[in-house]
Amino acid sequence: MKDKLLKLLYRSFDDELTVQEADELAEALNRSEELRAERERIAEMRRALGSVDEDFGPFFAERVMNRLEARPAENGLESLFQSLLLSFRQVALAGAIVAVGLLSYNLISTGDLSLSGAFATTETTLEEVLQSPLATTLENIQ
Amino acid sequence: MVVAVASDEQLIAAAREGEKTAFKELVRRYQRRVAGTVIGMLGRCPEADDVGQETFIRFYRALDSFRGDSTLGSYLTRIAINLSLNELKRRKRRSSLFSSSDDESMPEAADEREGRLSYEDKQVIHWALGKLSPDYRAVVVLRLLEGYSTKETADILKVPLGTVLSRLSRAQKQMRKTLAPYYGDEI
Repeated sequence: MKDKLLKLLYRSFDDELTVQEADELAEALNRSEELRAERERIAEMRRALGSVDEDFGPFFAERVMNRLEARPAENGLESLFQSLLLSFRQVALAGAIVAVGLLSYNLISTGDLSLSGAFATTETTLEEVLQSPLATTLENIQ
Repeated sequence: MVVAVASDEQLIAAAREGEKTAFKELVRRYQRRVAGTVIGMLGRCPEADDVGQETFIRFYRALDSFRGDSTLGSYLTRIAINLSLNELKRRKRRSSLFSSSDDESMPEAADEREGRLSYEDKQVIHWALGKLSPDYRAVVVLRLLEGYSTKETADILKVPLGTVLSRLSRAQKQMRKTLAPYYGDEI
């Protein structure tokens, strides 16, 4: 069966064919028993698909209404999450602005463009931490 | 207001005012249509019921913004199809992690053909639909199961008419091959 005719046949179910296409298909259908049989099979398949009648089962509307009534609690959780997310964004944005400000100040005043300079942090070794007054106090307690 | 005889517009207006019985009546009226779309897309599964419920919940939330530019049926179908496509994406992600259901064997068809499809016939159709890609499945469900016109199908899916026609043609061709043993013939 020619692929072009088959395409035309499928299209004929859903689209308006041009006069030339319609004539071509009609002629091919007259000639070919195979094409006529195929048209019947497609039509049968489409009928079967069209007869599929589905339902969600009993008490579907009640289930929807129950979920809608339970929704305020869910909405409460959603809004808590949303407000936390919003707060985090605001804090993150404020932090970024402060960091940029400190970096700019350091760059102008000392020509230093490092994060450790901006935040006055220095690298600390493990020994320095252990020799800190807090560590000494802990040793005394023990 | 007697909800059973009220028009959709009256029910929507009442639901906007917070009348739950009006909204429940809308759910009753459109649940079959939504079921056709969702079960057509996802098959008979517990997720289908969840997606169906979510469709109406989304509609409830959007009641104030629903202007009635499209019919309520088309509007709900659009929500249902989008949620179903999302569910299929989630399913695909899950099946790539765990086992796939794509290679399920063909279910047994009913011996006797009736005007109304038997449960087995429906299973065969859902099995064949499940073999289609989500894009193809969506056009088949809307055009052939739900009976929307090609233009309406294109509007709901927000794709050009030509795309609907070509997907429809390819999907039917694919389904014919899948269903060939069921129809007892070769293409």
